[in-house]
Amino acid sequence: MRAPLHISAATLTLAAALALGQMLPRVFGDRLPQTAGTSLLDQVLGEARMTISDTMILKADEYFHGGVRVTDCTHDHAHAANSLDLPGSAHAHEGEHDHHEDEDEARSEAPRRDLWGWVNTRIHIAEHRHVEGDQARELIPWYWAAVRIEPKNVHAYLLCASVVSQDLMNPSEAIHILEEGIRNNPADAELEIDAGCIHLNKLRNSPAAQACFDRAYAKWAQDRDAHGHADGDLKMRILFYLCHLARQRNDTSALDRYFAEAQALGIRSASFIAIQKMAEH
Amino acid sequence: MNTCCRQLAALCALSLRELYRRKDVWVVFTLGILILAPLTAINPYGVAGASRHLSEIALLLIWVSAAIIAISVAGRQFPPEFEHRTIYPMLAKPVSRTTLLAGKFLGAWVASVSATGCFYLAYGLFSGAKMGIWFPAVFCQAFALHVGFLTLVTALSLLGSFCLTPPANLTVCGVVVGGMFAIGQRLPDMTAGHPAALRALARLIYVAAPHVEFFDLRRRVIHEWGPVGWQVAVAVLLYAVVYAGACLLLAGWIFRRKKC
Repeated sequence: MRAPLHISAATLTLAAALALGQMLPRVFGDRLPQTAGTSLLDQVLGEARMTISDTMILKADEYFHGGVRVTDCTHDHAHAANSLDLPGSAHAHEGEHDHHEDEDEARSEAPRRDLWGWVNTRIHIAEHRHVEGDQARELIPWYWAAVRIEPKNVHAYLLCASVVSQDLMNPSEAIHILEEGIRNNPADAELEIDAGCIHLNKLRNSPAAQACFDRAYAKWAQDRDAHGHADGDLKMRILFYLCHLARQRNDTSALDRYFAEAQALGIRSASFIAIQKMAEH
Repeated sequence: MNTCCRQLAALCALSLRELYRRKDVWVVFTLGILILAPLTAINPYGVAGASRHLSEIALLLIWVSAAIIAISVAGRQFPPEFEHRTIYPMLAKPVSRTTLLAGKFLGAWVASVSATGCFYLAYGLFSGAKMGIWFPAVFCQAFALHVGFLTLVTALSLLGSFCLTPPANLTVCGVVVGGMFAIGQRLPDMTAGHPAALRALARLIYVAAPHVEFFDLRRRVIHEWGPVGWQVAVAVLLYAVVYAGACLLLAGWIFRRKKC
């Protein structure tokens, strides 16, 4: 007699719990500690997501150096946007790592601190090497994990696209990666610049590149209006590519306009000198 | 001599049977497969052939599992014997305290080495199938040095089991091993700008604590660097044997002073 009573009571309590579970979000809405639609990673990791994502990027950098963490060698600037590459020009980062050879030599000549330190340097890798060509595919899972953990990590998208485009020779996939980045970070101009560079330099698609740089320009202006200040160097890079495309089209009025804007920034960088040369011609 | 060997073999077999009866190894093995199997199926951004991240995760799992098995198996050798008072008939058999200690140590060592061997075999087959390189020299050397690590950790945990309660022993050994892995080589540098007393303490820990990081060849295996010079490997294995010997001598001294 007691067993059916217990089962009925348990069923009723469970039904009440389920009804409350359905009712509470409707009644209290945003006042509940967790809002509807928050991802599982957001709930578990919170603000630590970006830190973990950056750690993944460091891990990829470690893989780039053959498993060794080289603190004073960052490849942040190696992605296409910063290199000011143009079709037919030599890659701006050839010989980028020459300093490492001297650094490694210096390290091997450094006196050993003690017995344990000496054994440790014999056991663990002290020097580093760079992955080349197809081997760069080993970096991709870490970048992939970095953007899965934090889709707002623009840096991870830029580096991943750079590796896929330059080392793995797959610019179309790099464009897909950047498009994913743009979907997740619609206000970011850097992703547009990199996409434009790949369209321009790898896919030889000037109209697509023009569209990317135009969007980058618009996003840069939106960012300036929203925050009251903006990155001048970023605008200079956008203007550099817009100038190049304007010169390709023989659009002298656009070229003059861009040059005037570059002058107004008041930055005398390599990009500005390049723009100046393009405007003179 | 023959009797002593028979006693050692019996104690070894007992530890080995206990480990596999508890099914810890199978749980760890299944967990490893559950973690790795979905990862092998993922081709991030359509890029196939990347395998070093899988090696890294697999070797990390092996190291963590092996350390936990070695510490827990060694730490479990004596406390239950004292608790259930089974140590008395065993010592009355007669088995000398030295033989009992050596047998318990050998048993825990064989058990953890056999479990680690299974993990390495599975990893070797997995990495051979994935990368096409079957049991390279650096892989065999990594296993040999891992055995050295197990020797040291087993002796350390066995010593701890005489001084601490089982949970405290597990925690202290875990902290020592994890701590030395993380900051073992950086201790003097980390305390460089601190007061002299702290620097002296750090120096003492640096000199006396077990340098378990010497046995870690994961980076060489994952990134296909060559093996370590054989003189260095032998020196590191010798370090493990000497350190384990010191721990066992200390454990023997404590065991002899213990009233059973």
